[in-house]
Amino acid sequence: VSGQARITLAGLALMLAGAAAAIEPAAIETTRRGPWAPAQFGPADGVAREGAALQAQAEAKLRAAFDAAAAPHGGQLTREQAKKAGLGWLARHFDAVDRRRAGSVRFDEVQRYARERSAAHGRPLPHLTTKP
Amino acid sequence: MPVVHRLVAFALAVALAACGGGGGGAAPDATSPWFDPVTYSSAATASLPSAEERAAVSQHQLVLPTGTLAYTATVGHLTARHVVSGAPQASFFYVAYTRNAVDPATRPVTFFYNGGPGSASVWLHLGSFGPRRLATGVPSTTQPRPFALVDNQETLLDVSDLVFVDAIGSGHSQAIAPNINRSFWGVDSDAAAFRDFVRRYVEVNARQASPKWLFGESYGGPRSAVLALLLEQAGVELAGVVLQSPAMDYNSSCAIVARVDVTCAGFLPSYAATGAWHQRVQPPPADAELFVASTRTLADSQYDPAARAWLASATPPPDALVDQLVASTGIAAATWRSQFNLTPGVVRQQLVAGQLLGRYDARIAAPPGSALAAGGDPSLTLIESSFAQAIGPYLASLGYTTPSIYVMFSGAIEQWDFSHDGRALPDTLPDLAAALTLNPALRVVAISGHHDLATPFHQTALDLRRLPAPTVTELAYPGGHMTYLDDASRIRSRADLAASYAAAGAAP
Repeated sequence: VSGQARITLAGLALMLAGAAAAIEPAAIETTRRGPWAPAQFGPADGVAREGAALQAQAEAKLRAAFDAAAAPHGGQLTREQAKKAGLGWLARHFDAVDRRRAGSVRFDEVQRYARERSAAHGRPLPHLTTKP
Repeated sequence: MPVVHRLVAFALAVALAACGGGGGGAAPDATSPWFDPVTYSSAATASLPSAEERAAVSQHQLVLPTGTLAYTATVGHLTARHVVSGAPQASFFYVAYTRNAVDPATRPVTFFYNGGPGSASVWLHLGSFGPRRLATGVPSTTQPRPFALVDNQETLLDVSDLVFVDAIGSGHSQAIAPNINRSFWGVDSDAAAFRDFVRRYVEVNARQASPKWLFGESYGGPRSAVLALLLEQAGVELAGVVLQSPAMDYNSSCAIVARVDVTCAGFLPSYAATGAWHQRVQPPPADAELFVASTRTLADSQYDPAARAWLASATPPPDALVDQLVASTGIAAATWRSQFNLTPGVVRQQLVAGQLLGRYDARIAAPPGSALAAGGDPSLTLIESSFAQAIGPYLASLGYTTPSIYVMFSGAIEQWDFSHDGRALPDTLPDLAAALTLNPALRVVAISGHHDLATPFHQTALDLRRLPAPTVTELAYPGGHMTYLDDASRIRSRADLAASYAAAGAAP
């Protein structure tokens, strides 16, 4: 297996580089097996959000996917448009989301339905302090 | 491939799948081997001109304490097509185990994959909950090698059908033109391709109504978070996600990133577990698991703030805390005083004089310079060649033969696009939270090993506790990254997983 052979050689190279006494921490910390990231990735950036802030981030992701699909349609989606854009979830829940019976829905309606459904399942989502 | 051939292949796949399920009136004893003439490549630029959807099908029986379990093994390829464009993305290699004589339409189905990124699914496939497993004897290092392939009394096949699928560029999975393997070597493109494989498997095998589970290990954890969201968005509802030793947020691991606010507190309980195993903890704990659990409080309430002060302003730790850390881990005071935010590599070299401890399983030790230590991780070297040697003949025993060599690990990790959501390294908690927003019934189960120094169990718990509601079943057992290799922990985790599947089935 060529991939395997290369890995073994790389492992040996790491070994030899640190063979003087003990294996250097750098050598054993850069084992190519996962989960690992190559060393060129330096300090982490960004913030590990939690609770309501994480939920806002999650809903922003959902909004981004909706907006990408809805942009050519004036920011709203019909069931067929949702289906064609690969948004099967929305196509499936369309009638429940479309409470106005308008035939097309906005993201805030998607969001309201998802939040009500979570609450009905006994998993109420935290109140968002920032608008996603 | 001409359209007519593709249709024939599709019809054949459907027919085989119908047999595989054991229902629908098809002969339950269907057996058809398949010599796959394609030579698959793990190279970054490799690309198949086209792909056939074909599989070997074979019949098997497994004798369990609860009775004899008859099942079908299906080994071959399915083509993942893009959810929107329908364009072929990749030919995924998979091994499916489906129980005979039950209705496949409503039976759970679980998709398993390892991590890396770049690893084949061979570790979960031949080590965890499939119908056969390699008896490693871990953490003993004295089991004769190569390990024997034995019937797996802890298989989950009595609970769920099992599908083991290889990431693109590993196993026998490969991209289809105009894509190349590297097209899918990124957090988002990889998960999207897995989404399209799952969609295809569900479609071909008529599993729309089956409760669907994802089971990803290591990098397979973050893959599962991203994949769960993509599947939910695409309208494929999941019943649950099992995160085996996951690296949910690369930015929270002090072994991956250097940052003043990222401490090694998530590792401390694993150091304590390792110290206890190697009898370095004073006084020796009467109950190792209780002791390990107690060190989580030490990590959060004392070590973490002290390590933050150390990183931010080189503030020396209080003497009493150093004493407590020495007693709880067996790591020398001088080590704590010089490297207070202690990374796992140092612990692996310094905890036991003259021994290098394993990264994946710190219970497994070998002297530097020995054969077991030569690869840098004795716990991986111990098992790697047995898994590599076993997979080809095992697939042949299921009727699948090929001139290709099964690629255990591709070079993907070096070329991987780790960026995700505007960050250089993936934090996949937002993805999981978004999946839970679309599917509030989604179950999340996390399994970790106390002696895993790659993805420490306490850090995994800290990452998952960022979720807004208490939604995660956190399980931790004695053992390494692959807790399932440990005979006692495999028995426990099987029982806990079966309970989670049953609870999902019982939910409204």
